[in-house]
Amino acid sequence: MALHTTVEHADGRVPVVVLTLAGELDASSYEGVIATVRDIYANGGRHLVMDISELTFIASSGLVALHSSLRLMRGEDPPDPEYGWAAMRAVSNEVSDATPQTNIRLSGTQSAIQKVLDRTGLAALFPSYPDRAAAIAAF
Amino acid sequence: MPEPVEAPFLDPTRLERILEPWTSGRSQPTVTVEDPGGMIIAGPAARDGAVGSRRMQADILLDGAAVARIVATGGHEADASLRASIEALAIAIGELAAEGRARRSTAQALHELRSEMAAMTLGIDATELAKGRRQQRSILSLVAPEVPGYDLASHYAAAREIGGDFFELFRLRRRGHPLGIVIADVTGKGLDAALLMAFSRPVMHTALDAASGPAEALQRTNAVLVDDRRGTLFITAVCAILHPTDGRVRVAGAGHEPPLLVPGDGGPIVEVGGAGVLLGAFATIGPPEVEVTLEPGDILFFYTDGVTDAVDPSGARFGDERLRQALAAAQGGSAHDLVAAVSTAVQAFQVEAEPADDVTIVAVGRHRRVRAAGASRRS
Repeated sequence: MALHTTVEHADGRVPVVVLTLAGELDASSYEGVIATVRDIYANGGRHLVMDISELTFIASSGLVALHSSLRLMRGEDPPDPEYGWAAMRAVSNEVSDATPQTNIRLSGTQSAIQKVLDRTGLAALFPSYPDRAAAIAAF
Repeated sequence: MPEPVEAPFLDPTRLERILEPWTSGRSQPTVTVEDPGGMIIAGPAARDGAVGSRRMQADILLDGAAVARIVATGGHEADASLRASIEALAIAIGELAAEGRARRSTAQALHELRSEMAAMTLGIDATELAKGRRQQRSILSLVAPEVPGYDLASHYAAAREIGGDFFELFRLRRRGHPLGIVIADVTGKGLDAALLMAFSRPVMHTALDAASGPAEALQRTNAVLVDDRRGTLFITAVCAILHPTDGRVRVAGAGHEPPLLVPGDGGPIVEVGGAGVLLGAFATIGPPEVEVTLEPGDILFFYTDGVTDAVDPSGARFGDERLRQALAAAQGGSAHDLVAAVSTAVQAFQVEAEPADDVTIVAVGRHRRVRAAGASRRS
């Protein structure tokens, strides 16, 4: 039930960071994923492929990790509630309408994960590709 | 005169920020944090405008001792919901106080020692008190209204860390006083989840009371969440409205596990309604709404993902199949039977582990024998 993460670099048309999530993404691991993506962005990563072909389970807290990653890769560090609700309101409206402009691609989404993304509507925010090469090539 | 107790570990600036949604709102009650002596630590100092209006409060506990309290003045409409919200805030701030204990002063340590001694005198250990603090939320939710002709049953088990499930069962203030049902899960954990729960709970209650149907209630809630905050957490929820006279129930969901209809005649267990997108992530949502009729003996079973995501010592998840098996085994029983069957199965599955996520179950069952037609008239 643990989550294993690895970070690799690949070259497509643009430099791409590949974050592999293997195992289960739940309340015990979602904050670690957010921290990893924060590091990726801080180190200059701007295009992210999340290889989730070996991700077998995602809890609702895992959705928070995905969505926070989306914002981080847009350069919006999700505000810590400790900085107050005003800080939260000050963040530009991230609510995505029909045309998600995202720089995260998913690769190898298993049916159990896809089901959760579909159920919650988040599938619309995460373009999904059958494998890593296709996801990298999509940038 | 009692010795004034300093409010330990609570930074007023931090508290002001936490209270902001309540102090900057338009029609919300005034919310302050006071020390046990009644001195305001955070929140608006003057409550002159609220003279004569209702006042409710919740203690902020640290190891069982009240170190401060939250006071809401001028509450209206959804009082039970506001109360639950205030309780949730108190718990969240209590967690903050516990965190801040590392910075305690000598005087505060002394105060804590006193409360520990008091606890020992009462034969309660600190672990139990901590558990009680977590369970506090559930007690409020468990006060379900009487609905003649129906059984309302629920189960709630708090996670190790403060989580974000809540549910409400209440009579709507409209003709026929239908039963409003809300079950929701704030994603994520910790202080931010607790704060979002405290914020959204009365919002959902009011939305369901005011909306023409459950889908509109979810839309209203989403609009408030999207307009008033830009957090990183979401809410998944199901809202439903049950008309007790004929058993019609309208159901709408937002990213949440659809409720299950467990027929009293032994027929197949089916999901009711679609899931819809979750709340707080999209500017506009159009949740699917369906209507079903509860026949005598039928039970509508609501739950959060804490049920299906429960883990056994080998790492396996409880899952949909075990849930359906547990329900099928108890099918034909009452709403209480179903809730007991599932909660027992989940507990047995987890063995001794405390749940990693909140586990919440609500079941609404129509009695087998139809009562006289007038029985569901509200007293």
